[in-house]
Amino acid sequence: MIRPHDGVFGSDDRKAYYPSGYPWQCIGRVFTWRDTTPPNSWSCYGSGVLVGPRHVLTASHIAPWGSPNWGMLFVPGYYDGASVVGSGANSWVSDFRSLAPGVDAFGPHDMSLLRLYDPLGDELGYFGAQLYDRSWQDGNYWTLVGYPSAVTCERPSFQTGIPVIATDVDGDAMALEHQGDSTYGDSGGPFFGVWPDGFPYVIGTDSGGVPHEFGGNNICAGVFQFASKRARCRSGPGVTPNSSLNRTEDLPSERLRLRGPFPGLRNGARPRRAFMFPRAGCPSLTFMTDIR
Amino acid sequence: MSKTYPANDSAPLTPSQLVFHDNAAATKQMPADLVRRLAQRRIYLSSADAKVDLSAHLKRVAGADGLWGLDLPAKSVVGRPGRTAELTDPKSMPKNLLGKKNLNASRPPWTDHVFHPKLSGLPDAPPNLLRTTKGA
Repeated sequence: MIRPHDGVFGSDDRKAYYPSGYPWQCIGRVFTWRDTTPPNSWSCYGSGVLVGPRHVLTASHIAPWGSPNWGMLFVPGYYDGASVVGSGANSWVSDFRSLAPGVDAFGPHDMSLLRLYDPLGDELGYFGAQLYDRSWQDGNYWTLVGYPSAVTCERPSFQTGIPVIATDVDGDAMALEHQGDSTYGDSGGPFFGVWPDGFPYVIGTDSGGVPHEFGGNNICAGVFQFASKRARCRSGPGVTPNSSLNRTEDLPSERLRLRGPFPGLRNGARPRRAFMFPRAGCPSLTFMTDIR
Repeated sequence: MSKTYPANDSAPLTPSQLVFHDNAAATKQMPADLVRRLAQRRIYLSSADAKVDLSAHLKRVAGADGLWGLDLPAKSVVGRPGRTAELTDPKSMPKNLLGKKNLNASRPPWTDHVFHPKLSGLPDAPPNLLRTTKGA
């Protein structure tokens, strides 16, 4: 059971900052309209990050599934009402692809890639993406950025030095569990590290949190390579590393059967396209080639 | 133009290691047309009627200098609507990308590389106009 967000661990360690320069200007706020026709205002918002010339990685649960008149606006470097890059630095979203439809897509599949009308990534730069490697577990490598209203939704805030304390593979996706602080508005924010080459690489996107009665960690949907739909493995405290359930690398690639219902689709319709990760592919890679 | 950098599989930096990286200034100036584009506000107006001419609806407001009004036709939208929303198609993934574990990052030469962002604190609170009888 995963909820949108489970909150803050100990004192709130997130700090608001001024998003100038690379890579901070590549992270921004995502506004979603489920219906753009007047008099509707935006329905919800979250966070996102540029990961390609015109591609933004965010959470699936803030995407407007099931609406014929949807709209999304990405504002990179959003700070006090506008982008620090300039008042014209924003773009509407032309298309999006998700790993799971609907507003209930919290967890390992909670990932969407947005295609922008304007190539902001060419102009501002973009993050890389990296598959998570379990050898990094418990290392305090990671930073989480977002626009949580609990800090301020008008300025981005970040927390560094977050370790991944457990991973949870669910068929074709991986949840990265951590105890960084994460609340409403962080959704879709990048979970990333900086490599020795000096560049940032996203390993996941902020999704939600597991209730305290079930362990109480916060969750990022991890950029992950395909594993069998039969695989459901977990690493972390109390888990045997060599358990057969952890041997995802040896599992054959196979098509993932779509699971219903699909709350974002009307009249019980099935998605137009099937979804599967080829083995050793990663979601962002699939997305980007799909809608470039 | 932008340069892409290959990712590597070594471990990322910890905060203790990252602290030794200094911010680096941009090596080029941002192209003038890009400066202009990023500084220019744009408003998109969309209409369900593809043939409607919105320019005909723009009118100067009488009695107010420099003020213009736009009577939007029915079913028009301020913004740019999205086109497609789909689940991904794995068949669209080219074979030459199979097995890749990362995607490259990119930093244009006209942007500063900032490892340590400036902390801003919270937005300044507006002055409190209500006071108690004791002045607090």
